[in-house]
Amino acid sequence: MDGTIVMAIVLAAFGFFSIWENLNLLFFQFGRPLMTGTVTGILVGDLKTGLAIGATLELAALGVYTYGGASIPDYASGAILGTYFANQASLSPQAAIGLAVPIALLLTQLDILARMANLFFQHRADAYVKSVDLRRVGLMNMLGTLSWGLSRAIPIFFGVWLGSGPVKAAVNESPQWLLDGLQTAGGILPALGIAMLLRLLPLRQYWPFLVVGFIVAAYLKVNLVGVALLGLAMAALVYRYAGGEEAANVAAAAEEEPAAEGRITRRDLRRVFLRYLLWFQSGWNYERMQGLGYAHVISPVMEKLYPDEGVRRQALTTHLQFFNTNPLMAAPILGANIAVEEKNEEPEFPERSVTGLKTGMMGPFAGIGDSFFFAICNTIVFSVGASLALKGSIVGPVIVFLYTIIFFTAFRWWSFVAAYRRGVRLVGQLAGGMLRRLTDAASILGLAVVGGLIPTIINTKVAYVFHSGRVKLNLQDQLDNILPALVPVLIVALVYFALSRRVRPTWAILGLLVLGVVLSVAGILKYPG
Amino acid sequence: MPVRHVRIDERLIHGQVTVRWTREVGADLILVANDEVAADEMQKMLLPLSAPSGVKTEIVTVEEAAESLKSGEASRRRTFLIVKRPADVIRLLDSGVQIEEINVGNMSHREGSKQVKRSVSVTPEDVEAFRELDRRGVRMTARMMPEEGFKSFMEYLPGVAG
Repeated sequence: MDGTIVMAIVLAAFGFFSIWENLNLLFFQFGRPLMTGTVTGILVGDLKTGLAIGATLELAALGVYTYGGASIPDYASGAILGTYFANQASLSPQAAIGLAVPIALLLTQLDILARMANLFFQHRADAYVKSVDLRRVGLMNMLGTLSWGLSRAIPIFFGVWLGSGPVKAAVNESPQWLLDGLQTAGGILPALGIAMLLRLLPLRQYWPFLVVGFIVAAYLKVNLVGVALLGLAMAALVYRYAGGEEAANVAAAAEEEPAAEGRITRRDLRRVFLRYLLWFQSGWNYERMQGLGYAHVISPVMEKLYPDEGVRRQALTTHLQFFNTNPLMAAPILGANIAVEEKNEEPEFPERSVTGLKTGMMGPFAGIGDSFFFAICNTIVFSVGASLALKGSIVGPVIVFLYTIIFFTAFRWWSFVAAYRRGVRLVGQLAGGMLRRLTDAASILGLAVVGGLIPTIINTKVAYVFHSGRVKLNLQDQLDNILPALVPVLIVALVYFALSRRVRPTWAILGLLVLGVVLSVAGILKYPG
Repeated sequence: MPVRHVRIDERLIHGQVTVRWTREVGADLILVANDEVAADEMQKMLLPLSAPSGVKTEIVTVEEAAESLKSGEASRRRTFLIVKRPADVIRLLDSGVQIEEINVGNMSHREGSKQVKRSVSVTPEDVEAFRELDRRGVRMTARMMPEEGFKSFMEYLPGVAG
């Protein structure tokens, strides 16, 4: 068997695993290019390339998240294929971005296809409601993993198997100006990620912190970890004066008191939580979104509480309804939901309170979770991680991994148990009040980091040198006297302005690629290497 | 001052709204108009928690919203109005609120509803209400996220029984 086929199978399997991991487990965040690029680098035996491509794509994709079922460019698969091709054709990481970005954009369509294909499993599950077959409903949810996984695995398999020859040939045929142009474009691509972040963060309120971050990175040459520490100090001060103490008191008040074992045991809770980690979003589809997964995850509770078939059918029907929230914040909702069903003394299923609780909480919790966990915490950790990875250090992705597995998982388990024991009201107030203040503080840290990102990760130099007789005028040196990193600042400003003018991010990224090539060919910008 | 942006969204204030739309619209007040939610203590407590900092939230009945939009706080602020159903937009118009344009963001699947767009399912009553809004000259777009195009929502409805 030839090596390409083996590699195609290995990388396709990894693509399959990574989308499942990103939907459910969330220990590694394999939905992000930094993480898939790193692992692909290890698999193809070229870690350096994997780190560079993963990090470059990550920086271009900062601020791109999926909310409530919107599909985004599949940068994670783009990083897998991009790393493989760059290694095969000995492309520079920046030039390989010219390949990875279009791949990511194309694969978006398959993401949409997977979400549609799961409708089939959803409707099969609906058919099992009649016979109240909880096991088969759960199975349908798990089978959704196939649509998701194959939507990544198939294109990766064929890309690797059939693509590597033509890609190598194409790269060999490519004129030098195009490769140089792509390299220049790769150097300015992070401007998109930065501009998207600036649109998410409260710039108008906290812009001074952006300036501080920029100054220490551009003038004092402090690296990004240092900038993040400075941001942390500023955020802590603001948080303290904005009344952070009282949040700590609420947290102390929420300490668990051992409750008497009711009908639901600790073992049941663990079963639900494990299913939530493994399968919660596998059956995601456009019609009910997380509804199928929710019914599957909570079915141990239905088995335990409703021996009567009629009541169980009602419970199953209710839980199969539309549901969608932030995947981490689903944990406290599940916990509170179990408590409500356990405390119900009536023989019927407490449909009104369960539906009220689920529909009442999913929206607000999605808002809190998306802004806090995905928009802010991820941004800070990933920009530091990607900037370390750009320098060829595996410490970057390792930091991201540790943060994800410890912080995300601890929050999920803690909030699940606390909501079960103490009810949703307290957890809501606690999570809301605390997360909101934390979000504010984290925004300050985020802005400082973004200020530091501009001069450190947009990598480009003015190539134009002015000759007049024997006078040689190096334009870059002149610009540095006005403001270090003036060109990166201008490019970020340009993209930010374009995005405010409703230019879609997809067009913005293609525009940056073209702009990079054009400016490189015109001899205005170059990649400094 | 007419309202900044009117959105139909089943989930009211959630990620798409807090992270993207509020800033896109430049709003400083999110006004949620829904009779059931205004009567539900739990939702009233939870919904404001997710609003971005510096943005005020009000959760009121449709009637109260109409008052606020005509002569109350919402008429003086940069208001982002969110309702769950097109029928509630008609009620607002009937109480004399000026609405020129609405955006249909998310309407989830329900008993008897039909999917007309990736994030929008409508019941026959909804379709009737949309046609009525169209007759009254209200412009309608269907943008779940700000990047989407301004295609008229009515173009999604032909062939749907109403």
